[in-house]
Amino acid sequence: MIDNGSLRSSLLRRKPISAFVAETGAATEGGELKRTIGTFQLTMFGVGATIGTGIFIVLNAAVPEAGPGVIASFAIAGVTAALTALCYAALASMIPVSGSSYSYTYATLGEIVAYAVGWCLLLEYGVSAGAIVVGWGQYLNQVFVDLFDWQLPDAISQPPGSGGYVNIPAVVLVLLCCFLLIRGSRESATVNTIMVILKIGVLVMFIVIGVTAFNSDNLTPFAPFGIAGIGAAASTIFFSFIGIDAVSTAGEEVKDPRRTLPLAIVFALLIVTTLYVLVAIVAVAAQPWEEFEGQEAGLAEILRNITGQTWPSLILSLGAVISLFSVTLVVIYGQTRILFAMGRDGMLPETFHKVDPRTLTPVRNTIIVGLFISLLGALVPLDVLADLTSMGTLVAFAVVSIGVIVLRQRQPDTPRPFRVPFYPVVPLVSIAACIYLIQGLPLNTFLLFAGWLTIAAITYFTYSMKHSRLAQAPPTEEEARLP
Amino acid sequence: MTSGTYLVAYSADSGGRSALALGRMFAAAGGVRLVVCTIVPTTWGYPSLARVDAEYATFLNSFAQQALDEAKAALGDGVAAEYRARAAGSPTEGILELVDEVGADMVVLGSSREGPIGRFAVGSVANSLLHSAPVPVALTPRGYRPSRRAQLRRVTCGYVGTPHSAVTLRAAAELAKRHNVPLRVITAVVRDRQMYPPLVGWQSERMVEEQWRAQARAAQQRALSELPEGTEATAEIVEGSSWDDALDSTDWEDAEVLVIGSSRLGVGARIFLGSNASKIVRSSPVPVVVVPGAE
Repeated sequence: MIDNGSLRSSLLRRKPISAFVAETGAATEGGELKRTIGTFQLTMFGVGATIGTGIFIVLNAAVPEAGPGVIASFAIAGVTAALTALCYAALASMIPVSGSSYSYTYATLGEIVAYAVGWCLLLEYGVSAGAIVVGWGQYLNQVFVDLFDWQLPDAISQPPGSGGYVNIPAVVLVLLCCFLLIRGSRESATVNTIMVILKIGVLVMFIVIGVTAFNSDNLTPFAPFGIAGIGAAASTIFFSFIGIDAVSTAGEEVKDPRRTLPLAIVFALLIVTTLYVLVAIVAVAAQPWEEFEGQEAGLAEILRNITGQTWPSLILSLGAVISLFSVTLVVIYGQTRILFAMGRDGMLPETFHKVDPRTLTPVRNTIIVGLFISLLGALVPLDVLADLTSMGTLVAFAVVSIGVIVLRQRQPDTPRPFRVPFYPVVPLVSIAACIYLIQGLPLNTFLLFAGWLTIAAITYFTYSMKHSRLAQAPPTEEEARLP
Repeated sequence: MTSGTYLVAYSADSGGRSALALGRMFAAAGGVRLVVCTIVPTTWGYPSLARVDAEYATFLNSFAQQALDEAKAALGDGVAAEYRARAAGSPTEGILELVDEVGADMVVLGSSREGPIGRFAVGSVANSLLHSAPVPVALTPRGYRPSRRAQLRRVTCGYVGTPHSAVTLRAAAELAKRHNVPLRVITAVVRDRQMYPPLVGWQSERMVEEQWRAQARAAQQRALSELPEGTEATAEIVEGSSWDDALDSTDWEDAEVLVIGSSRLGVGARIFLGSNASKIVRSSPVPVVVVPGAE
């Protein structure tokens, strides 16, 4: 039996930054990276990483919760995303390591919290990938409808409970992305830019065409379910803002991070939120809010209904099919790298951080992630996936904000390349906003999340705690201090 | 000293002269018998009153003879070599027949003219030979002209730690032993893989790289310890942002060859270049010896 003191110290052991740095091989190369990224490029990364994860699919889950008030929900979710992104940037600039909030937490709040955050990230990446591929399947079907007036039968394009058995298009997309990742394919900066333009392009097209059907009657009553409904919808919608944390991770290569990081975060979120709000206004003004429930490939469906023609819907659907493909690739990639980081720390079995000698990629890791996401995409309905993603992401974001406060208390004097403005207001409001959004999620999401964390706790106490690298070589208090 | 027979595929052009130069380098220390061959097209042997075909055949024969004479002059008297002209349906066919006949241990091939000087470019003959040769094929970079007295100084083996790669290493060790030169094992860490947008940090690929570096080092040490007793061998990691960079990041002897394995996709003991292998072949500053798979 371990006594309480040593259990406590192993749960709260922190991983030294020097260990992170050694693992990225920075020491062997010598010298710092060149800081090359400016505000504009970074803003583009933020927009590219954020748009596409949700806006194409989230309205049909969110409007039935809030009615036209969904417009306000987008604004609430956007502000929350901005607050948390600032906290992310603060931690990322002090702890320039990969692995996202999992690693930040490991360096600041200790192992057990980091482990839980890692499992939340499985929701932010793995489960959101599941949601994205389901949405992709809907738009693919819309392309078939527009081109051939034919669509895949429900039996093979819907999950059980929605009139089908298995969602084949979702599985196909996941497997395709995994195949590309195993081969070592990467999306280049150029492709990213093209995807950003494509996504913004089809959304603008939706706004321009959709606004011709603007009917203010559809906007009343504005909030059929009151403030609670708007809040609940904001929780669901938060799903469409994940990815914004990607901006903060570029800290090390950013020119003048103190200025560039907050500007890029704010600009990216302004662009994204403006687009989302406009899309939402146009969408809810184009048709009565009751019609959103159960619609598939929502935005395309609206265009089709208001123009009575197929081409606008076809263009939008094609744009969605292409850009959601690229988003899926990037998100699955992110998931494999987070599991890689956890495997490297001994939190997960070694198989997650084995690099295949021929492809130089973590092949088994990618296959496991692919199977997990395929199962989700094939069998679970979209709204459940979206809510679970919001849950995981919000918890991870809240923990990051707490991390900022803890670090300020513990090490007030350590130099910070980027400081959160208006400390402690921003992190505190950020935590409050996350909690507000979390409480708006439906009960079954809480139950699923509780189950999820229970599994996490079991694996932690039966496996990870003993296999943790830090268990073999515990860091001293001095080492665990941030530089 | 173990002896071997190397078949140099000669053609009367720059690529042929490079192949010859590599053949000489292999043979310079003795112990290796060179067979220099040139392949001409078969004629149909179709009886025609004008006997144009026979005339053409005569021309081809004299052409081949002339090429071989040139080769002989270029190689000089110091190197013992046998010269063969062969008529065949295709150069590859002729080379494969001769490999069989003379019991060749390696085929030495020149580059096509499509690539940059100092690098090998895969032409049609190399391509079909790499798909079908049962023995190692040495690919000579374009414009390869070591000094006439150059002798092979070292054999480097590209190694990644797979069972397949172990077969390649055995072949490289054998080659080093035959030529009585030291063996060097290298593994590449190539970082050309930034993902945009980098969702979980710019460092995430570095993390994978570092893991690969650790795995590679361990695999190299294991491999060195499993080499036959008395093999003089060292290990090295080469790094760069591309295969070009990685192969340039290390020192090469003036007379050195790089041994790599062919892809597992090859059928039986045949050679077939995988995507990494073809990049290495295109980027290597020294001749590359491609060895066929194990099965």
